[in-house]
Amino acid sequence: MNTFIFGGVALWAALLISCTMVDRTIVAPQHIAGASFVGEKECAQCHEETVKHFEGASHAKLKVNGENGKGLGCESCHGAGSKHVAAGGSKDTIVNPGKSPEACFQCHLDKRGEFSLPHSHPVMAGKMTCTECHDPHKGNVVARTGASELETPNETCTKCHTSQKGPFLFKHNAMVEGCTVCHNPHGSVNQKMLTQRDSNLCLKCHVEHPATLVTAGVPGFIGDGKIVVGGEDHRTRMQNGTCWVAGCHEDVHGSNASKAMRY
Amino acid sequence: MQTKLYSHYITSGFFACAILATASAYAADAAKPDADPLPNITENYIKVAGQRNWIKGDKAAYEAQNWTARGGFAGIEDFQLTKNLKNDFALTVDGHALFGNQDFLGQIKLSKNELGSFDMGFKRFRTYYDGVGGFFPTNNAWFPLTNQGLHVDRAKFWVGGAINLPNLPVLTLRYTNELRNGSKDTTIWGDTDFTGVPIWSSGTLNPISANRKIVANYIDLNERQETFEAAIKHTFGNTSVELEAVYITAKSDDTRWVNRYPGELKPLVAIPGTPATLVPPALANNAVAGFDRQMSEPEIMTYTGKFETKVTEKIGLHGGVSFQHATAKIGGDRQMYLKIATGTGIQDLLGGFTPGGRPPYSYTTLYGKTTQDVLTANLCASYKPIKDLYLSLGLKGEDLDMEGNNQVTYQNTRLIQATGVTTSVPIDAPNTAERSERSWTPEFNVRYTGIKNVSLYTTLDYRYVTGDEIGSSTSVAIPSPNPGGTVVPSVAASFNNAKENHGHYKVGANWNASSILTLRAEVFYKDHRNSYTGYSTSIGGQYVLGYEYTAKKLTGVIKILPTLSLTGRYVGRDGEMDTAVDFGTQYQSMDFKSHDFGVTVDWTPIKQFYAQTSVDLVYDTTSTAYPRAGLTANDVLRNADNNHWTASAIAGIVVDKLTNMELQYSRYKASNYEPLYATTALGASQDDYTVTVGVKRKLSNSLVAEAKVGYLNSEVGSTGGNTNYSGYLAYVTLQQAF
Repeated sequence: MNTFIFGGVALWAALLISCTMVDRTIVAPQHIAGASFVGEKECAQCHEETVKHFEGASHAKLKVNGENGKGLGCESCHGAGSKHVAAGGSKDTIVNPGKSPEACFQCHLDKRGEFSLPHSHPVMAGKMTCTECHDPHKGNVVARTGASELETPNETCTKCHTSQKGPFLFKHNAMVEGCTVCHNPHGSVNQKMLTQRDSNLCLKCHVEHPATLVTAGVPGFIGDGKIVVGGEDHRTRMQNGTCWVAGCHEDVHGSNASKAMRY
Repeated sequence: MQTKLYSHYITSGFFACAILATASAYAADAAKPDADPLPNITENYIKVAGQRNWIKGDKAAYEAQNWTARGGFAGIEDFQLTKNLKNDFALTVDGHALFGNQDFLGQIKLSKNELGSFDMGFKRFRTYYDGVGGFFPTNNAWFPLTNQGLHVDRAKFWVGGAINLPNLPVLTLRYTNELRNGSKDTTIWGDTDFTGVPIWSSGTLNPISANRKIVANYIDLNERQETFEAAIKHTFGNTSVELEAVYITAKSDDTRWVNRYPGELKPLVAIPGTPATLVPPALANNAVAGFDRQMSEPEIMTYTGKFETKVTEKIGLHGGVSFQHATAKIGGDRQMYLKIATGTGIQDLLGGFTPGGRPPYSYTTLYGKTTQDVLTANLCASYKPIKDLYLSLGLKGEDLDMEGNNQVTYQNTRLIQATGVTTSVPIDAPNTAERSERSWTPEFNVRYTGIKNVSLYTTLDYRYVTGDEIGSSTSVAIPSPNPGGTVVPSVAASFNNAKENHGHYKVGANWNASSILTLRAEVFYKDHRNSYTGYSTSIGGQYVLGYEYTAKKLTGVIKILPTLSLTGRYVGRDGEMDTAVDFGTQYQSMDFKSHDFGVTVDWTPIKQFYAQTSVDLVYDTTSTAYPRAGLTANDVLRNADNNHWTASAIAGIVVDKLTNMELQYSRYKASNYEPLYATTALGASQDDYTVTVGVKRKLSNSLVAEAKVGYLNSEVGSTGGNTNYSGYLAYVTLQQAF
């Protein structure tokens, strides 16, 4: 083992020394070797429409006035643009975050972590990109929130997950809170990107302290050893499994047959 | 031995010093422009690639976690062609075709300034799933699918174009056809009593239930969506107007295959009440197997008109109106067969039940229709009174009306167990639903950059909804006591007034303090209150949910040296929910806390070397009923903990004039395992790492080769090690520019 470790160090040292004999640059991904910042006005020369809308985009908050803000704006994500300008806009001289998430991960360190989890959207595998759900150039980057767009936030998810779109005869009002109340769309340690892996997921909204039980003389919830949902103690059922297992509430996104979303 | 080890220390110390010295010597050089980087070929090239994997252990788990086929893949990883044609036409073609992964893309675009464009493409990729279900540790209970390796293929074909003539409206037409086919896992797991927990034949005597729902099930997906879009957009001076019509027709036919209590069969004569015994061969339940098929055929027509204008240099306006009419035919077929011992032998009965028992709900007919109309409009104004102040104000309104009905015909079978006599019990169960909602959402944004190197901003929006939810639902139940085994439909009407108040507030600041230090801080707060209050025959019923959530985000970027920068981000989140039911006491139903610490270090000591390391550490816990429920309830539920950390490192080094080397390492670890009597999802426990070493070599100015070898290892405690895998991979590419 020691031989392996120390042999490795020696190998690396040798490599490092040898490489310093070569006058050539290697850059980390998402960096443009030898490029410098040119500022947003240069970008607008060709990308007028994009720059025009950026004023109202969430990421415009990154821009500041002053010498220290040089390079903030377009070049925060696309890399320094001088070589791109000089080359007349060639693709190999600019970073395209639409192809790789690395530009986003510069600041969104937590998202790099979440996309690295075993249950995540396949961004790290290159099958999806951040820009499929987020438009960094226009409006709210958390898509379809607020008033600036006509669509609703859940449509970001249902454009691909069409069978969850409904409308269902019996809807689950959790959809009012949005898909993200149950799923972390970037990634989770839990299957199906669930925010909680077990019955806690449902109990967040569904533990009860029903007046009917209190008036009937049944002790209240806290400390009585019961987990009451829908007026019934679900304690034993929760010992057996999660709320959405077979035979219980299988259709959690909404149902066309059962008001209790059992099937 | 001591001497040998000492000499190793000296050797390593020597080389460490050499590295540092060399690094220092070249540090000043690092910021200088490059001299001769390897060619970065991004246009007009073809890149062929192949990867071979040698995986031991659970290959389906490898596929699911790495999004790639167990054996590897080969083909064209990337193809890009950009060409200027005659008459100023520009052509771009790009795509890939990776066999093994079944990952394909081909798209072509032809365009000409002041004329228009045409594009067409096809995309298909495969996602992998492992049908493994849950795990219970007492006797290592594990019921995966026979064939764990599942996959779904997502495909998309599109063709479209635009006519863009000078001074005339731009006309755009597009057709898209999307498919989703295959099989995927589900967490709708089935039951088993083979958990090793001792049981009594009488459930009331069981101190701990032996039943755990951990049997793997899966879903067959068969979905298609076609979209036809037509839009016309015209710009008059500072104003642009766009009219769009979109028609969507879709069809989904998804079937969930369900397996409950596999291998179990309750004896005709009940087993003795004592003594306690393990389940097999005296069984506590009967196997249930079947499917739940759900079909939907929506047709959605949406008309949208939008405008955008610049009223003055300081004032902008945008807004629109959209009307959507959607109808959907719904259908279904749920057939659950109960295997049951009778006096005349074992029978498989559709929705079978014994008098007093509960049927596994089945229906052979479900048909119905839903209709939904949504009218939406918004108007937003932006105002920049001075150079450093940006204001925007918007308002969105929505009116939604939905109605639907269906007819479900339950198909159950009543059984007299002693004689084996069965009676089919079909029951019609109609359902209706109506919903109407009206919502208003104002939004306000301010951004101020008048302080040198500082940006201050705030965003506020508030969604207010009022609505009505009216419905009639029919359920099927067996009254108890019920010696005749009669099944009766039970019809319940519901009338609810709905109110939703959703406020979102964000305030933040960015301070680029110097060329060395940048600090950012942001606080986001949301306050939601949803209430559904019964009226008419539902009077007295009420459900209220309050949800408060706060997220704090702090980011710092420190460029310690021109060659060394450190980016750190802390994201703290906490949330509380409270519920009140039927005008009962309102109390906290959830307490959620999460702390996320992320750090990235970029180090470029010399032009010929870079290293980038990222670590993300998360503490995350959600408490609901535990521990407040108390007593035995605390034996069945624990807090949901999602604590974990991830790390990745990448280093690149110039080996010689033509060769770069790159090392990559990634790690994920979670340790939330609680294997006792809590619910079946015992907590994530996993430790994964991957190491790769790659070499990239310039063979000529237009030809670059790359090779990579790696090792990966995954150990999963929460599946009892049943989904562990490890193995080697080798990957090669050749990129040719033309």
